[in-house]
Amino acid sequence: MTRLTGVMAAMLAAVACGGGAGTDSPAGPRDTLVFAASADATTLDPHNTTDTESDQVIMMMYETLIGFDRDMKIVPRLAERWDVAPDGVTWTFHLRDGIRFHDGTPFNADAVRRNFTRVMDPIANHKRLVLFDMIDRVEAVDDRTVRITTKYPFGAFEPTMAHVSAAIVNPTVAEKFGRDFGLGADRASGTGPYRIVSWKKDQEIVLERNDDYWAEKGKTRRIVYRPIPEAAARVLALEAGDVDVISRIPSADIARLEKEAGIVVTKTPSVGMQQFRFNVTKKPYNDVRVRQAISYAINRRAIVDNLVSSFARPSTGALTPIMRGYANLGEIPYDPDKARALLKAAGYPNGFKTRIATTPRYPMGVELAEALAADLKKVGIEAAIDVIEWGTMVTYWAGLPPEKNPQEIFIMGAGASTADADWGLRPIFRSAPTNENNYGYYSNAEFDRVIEAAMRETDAEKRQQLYRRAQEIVYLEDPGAVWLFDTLYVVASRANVEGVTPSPLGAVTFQQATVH
Amino acid sequence: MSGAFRRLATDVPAMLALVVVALFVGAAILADVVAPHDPLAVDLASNYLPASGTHLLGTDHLGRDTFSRLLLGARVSLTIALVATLAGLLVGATLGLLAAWRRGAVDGAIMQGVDVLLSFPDMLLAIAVAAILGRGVSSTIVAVAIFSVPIFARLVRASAQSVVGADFVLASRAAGASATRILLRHVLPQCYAPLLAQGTITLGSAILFASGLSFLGLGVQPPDPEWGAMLSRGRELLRSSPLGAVAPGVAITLVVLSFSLLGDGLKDALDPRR
Repeated sequence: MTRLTGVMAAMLAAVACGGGAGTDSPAGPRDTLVFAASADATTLDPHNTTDTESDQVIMMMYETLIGFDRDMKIVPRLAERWDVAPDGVTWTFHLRDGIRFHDGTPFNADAVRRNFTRVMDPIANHKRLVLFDMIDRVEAVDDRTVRITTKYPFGAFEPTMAHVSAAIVNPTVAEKFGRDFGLGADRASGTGPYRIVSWKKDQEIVLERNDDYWAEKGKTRRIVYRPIPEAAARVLALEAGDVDVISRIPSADIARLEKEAGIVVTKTPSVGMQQFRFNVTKKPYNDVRVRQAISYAINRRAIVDNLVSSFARPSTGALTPIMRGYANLGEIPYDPDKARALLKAAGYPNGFKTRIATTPRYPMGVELAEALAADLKKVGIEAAIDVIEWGTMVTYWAGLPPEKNPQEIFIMGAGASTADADWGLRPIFRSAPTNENNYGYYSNAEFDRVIEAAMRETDAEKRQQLYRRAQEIVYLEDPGAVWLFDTLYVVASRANVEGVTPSPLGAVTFQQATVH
Repeated sequence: MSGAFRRLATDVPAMLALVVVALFVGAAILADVVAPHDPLAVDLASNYLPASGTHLLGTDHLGRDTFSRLLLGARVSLTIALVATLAGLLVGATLGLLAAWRRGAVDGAIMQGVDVLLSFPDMLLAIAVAAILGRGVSSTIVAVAIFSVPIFARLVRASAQSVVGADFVLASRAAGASATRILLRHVLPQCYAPLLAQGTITLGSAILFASGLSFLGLGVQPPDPEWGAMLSRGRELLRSSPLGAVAPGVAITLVVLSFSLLGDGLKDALDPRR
């Protein structure tokens, strides 16, 4: 017994001391910041990744010609200025002078050309190929001028060029390693403020300040990415001071962390939304009145205020306010009487039975489905819940024809990594024969026309009007989903960490971060 | 037999366990009457409430009364355990009797099959079955039943083997009794005592496995309350609202421990050598 007590006392002492990154605080800022990632990066090749954990590291190492600032406005990066010809398809980028890649190779127009050749190569078929579908050709006019011609006037060209996958990699290194580029510390090279020095798979990635960086240099010498997959363990690591910053915080812990001394929680309005979508090919969801009824039957305010208040804001449209093209259509009111009337008009005065598919992968995924089912019950709809693990869930969203898809209502997170209406609406709701991106087989002829016109519209005013119309259709008139809430991107850091930059895209970077 | 129960009555841990089991069985049967609230009633505005007079164990994410859910969960968990144990016992005992009676190749085949089942880690086997049959109460029952078959088969075979050669069995064979009659009337009753003891212990582990499956999301589906599922959902809130996970956790521990102690007590009490 005595020995056991002794062991416990030692453990408590260790916890109390916090032993690790947080405790040693001699004069001056520390030279290392440790970020607990939820997973290791899969690759550091910006052209071939779609996961945030990789993108977060990529954003530190590489840069785009133009980028997003914190409010998602487009700002110059590797290009100091750019313009578009009156034809709407010819874009000219004037590059900054004197920039070098991490290995000293100069950055120039030819490097840009070779990058787009790489990401658009149909044989290499990198994961981000589809994003650059609209580009016809890329030419190096002279050493510091690049001309990109699109196949048609493309309204979302700038946000697409600001997307992390348009980042310029060192073409010499990329061509040397081909498909293996980005898969190791020796095969990743960009122009960014940090360079990679080591990568121990599933243990840590170490970035070091690029002292030859062309703009404001990093404040902290080393940034360490340490994968801690279990969310509760990440929270504990932060509380113990073993790591300096965490993201992907369990929703239940957010409120508690906010109250904790020594920890700062930041919440950033993001491009993310939480929805439940309809499979519109399944009866009775082929009837617009049924979908409208369900939309009115959900008490979103109660859900946002009580269940997810720590990371959600009510939806006010089919996009989030930070996105280009967003239109404020207001919150959809909770109106069970209207829901019952609509159900009656649709021929279901006594409701019907249905199934809701959900996955705990989304924060509160199971509880949201339960709340939805409880609200639906009040208007006579009996919904059974299927909790499905992520791996199985994605097989329902993998380009199935409708007759092979049993799902009726299913949980879905939505957003657009370009923070633009085109990517936020077009792939998700435009008519398509299978559900590769349009998981619910949504189809509305007017929506298709409007979204197609908006895509080719470069006049900001007209574009905005078209997207407003598109959102009226899909959000109100012919609902493609129940929009539950817009998500806030939550990052928690030790109070002695400054200058962490969470992005509305749901990623966090440390270009100017310091640890005191 | 009455001597056995007298012996059991003096076994303090077993009697305490019996009281706990009786309480939970009572709760399971009377859940609808005893529960202070509707265990499925969602009231988002009063979620995460701490324990109070109205909500003895507080409320969960959706404002449902944890105590009422625990009571209804007792019914779900105990029903699964009981049905699964009985099914496992039925199949296991049949196989055991058959093996002991026919001996030779049949015995070899059955016992090797049982050994194959035993060679799988229990939980892995249960997960595999649940994965094949899909989620839900009935597949949980099948999964838990399959895992309990081997122990019953071995137990019955061992007990039966010792009596199939006994004089009274030979006598009834000579009198022309059918195999079925002999097995059911003469051999099986010799196995009752160990079966009762093992059955009680298995009930406890069945609850544990069913909870484990639900904890992993393979068992009982929401919104139905089940202890393992409640524990799984409540665990996220362990730091801020611990009752949601602690209550079902304590319930599982208590019931499993009680069944185990009771089973042990029965084993000792029914031991003919005592």
